[in-house]
Amino acid sequence: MKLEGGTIIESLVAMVILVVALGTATMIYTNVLDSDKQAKELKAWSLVQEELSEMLNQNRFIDQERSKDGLYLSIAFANYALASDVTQISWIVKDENEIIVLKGDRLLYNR
Amino acid sequence: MIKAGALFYAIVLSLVIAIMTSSVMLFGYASRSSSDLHKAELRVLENAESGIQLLKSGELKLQFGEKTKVDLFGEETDSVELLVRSWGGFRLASSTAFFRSTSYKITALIGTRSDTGSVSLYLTDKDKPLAVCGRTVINGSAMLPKAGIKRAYIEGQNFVGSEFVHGQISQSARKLPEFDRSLKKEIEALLAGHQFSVDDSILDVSGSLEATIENNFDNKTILIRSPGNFLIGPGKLKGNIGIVSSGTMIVGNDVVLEDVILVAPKILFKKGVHGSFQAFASDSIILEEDVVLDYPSVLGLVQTKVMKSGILISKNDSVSGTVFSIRKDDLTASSCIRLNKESFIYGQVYTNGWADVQGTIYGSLYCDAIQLKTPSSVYENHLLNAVIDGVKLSSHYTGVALEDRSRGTEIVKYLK
Repeated sequence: MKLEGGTIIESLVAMVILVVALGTATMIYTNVLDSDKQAKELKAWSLVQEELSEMLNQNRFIDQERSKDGLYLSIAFANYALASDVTQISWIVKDENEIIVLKGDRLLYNR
Repeated sequence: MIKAGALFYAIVLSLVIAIMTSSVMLFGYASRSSSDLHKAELRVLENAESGIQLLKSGELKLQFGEKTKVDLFGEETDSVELLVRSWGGFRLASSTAFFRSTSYKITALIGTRSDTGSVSLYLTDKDKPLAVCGRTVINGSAMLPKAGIKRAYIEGQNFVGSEFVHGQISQSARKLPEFDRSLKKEIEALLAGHQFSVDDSILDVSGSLEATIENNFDNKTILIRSPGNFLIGPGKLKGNIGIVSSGTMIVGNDVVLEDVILVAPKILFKKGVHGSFQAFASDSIILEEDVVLDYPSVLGLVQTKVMKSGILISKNDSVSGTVFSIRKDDLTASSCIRLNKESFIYGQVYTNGWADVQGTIYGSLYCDAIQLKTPSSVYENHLLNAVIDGVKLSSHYTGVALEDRSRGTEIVKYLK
């Protein structure tokens, strides 16, 4: 059987459409993955705030680890270098794959 | 063979698909940008609050009125610009955090925490006992003269309580705990007209002020000056405003004052004034009846000349905050604070002169002497129907650092 060839323009247009379609699909896929990361970060943020407010309300200034919904939070207290009556609170939230989702620091006057 | 028209259909279809997919991509991009912005905002908010915590510490030894940039966590990604200056009896602290193009500023008044279980009554030892009569209540620990405390019978009223002091009694010293020197200097500078900067916006008025002015603490201070006697009201004055008069300042009950500082030799608050502000005088501060000053108000008198001076709190007045009356070191004339019947103070009262307490204090009273003036006589170191209750003062109460002891600091109020 003899197949008829398209014109060069038709071939080029088809290739462009294919490239654009594949590129778009990749970008959408990346975005979807990113939105999952954003949701994780938000969850991590709320976990940190929840834990910190509980610790501060109870004056419980000891290093602590906690896990919730597949996120692992660790909070550490240290003396702040620039002022002896200020504590530096540092937190790291990791996911199940040990990837850091969120990290941050806060100062607290403790006199 | 495919017909030539198929190319047209393919292009139209690809355009439609392109529009749809780019919309999805644009939405994704917008969502990510918004999320990044939100994260940046949370970060600067955290950092600005950390800056305020650092300012509460006071260990950075910042120069008053000078902006200082601090790299909070040593990673050069979290910077704050800190500024501290005096605002009457308090410190005005501001912390501005930056991250990329986002910034956030917090401004707050910082005061000194009250000590838990601190002294309710401190009366200097002048070798005379404290005499109580009527329905006098002293709740909380008291530091009294070595001669102690006794029952008295005056104005036909004997002491009717079960205990003289509901709390621990200790012996007081012959001198009152010293008033904070730096605060005294600042108030003296205010009274001498030096504390407001020449860079402030100055508004000269005479006679009276009828205006509504709100000034943010991010702006320059608005300094309203009057050369003589001066009436404030009607109107509203709020925020970063200093009002200075060289004569008598009269505050009408038709003016709303919030966060402002009033400075004059004599200040008179007309009946029914309601507000929250700081007032400093060198001669007298008189509150007519029904005046309500909300937290965090400050009434301060620093006597600069040899003359009778004092603060008068009248019937049905209520002051939440700090009231102090002190004299300059080289003066011997005494200053006073008088609380009439049915007056109420929630906070700190300090005078290195004498106090006449016939009302109620929920907080502490530090005084050199107590004087009770009745229609028939004047009694020394007598309390009649007075209530001094330090237990009723919240442990979270934050006021002015009156004494030379450094206690912890706390936010008094967040400002705009």
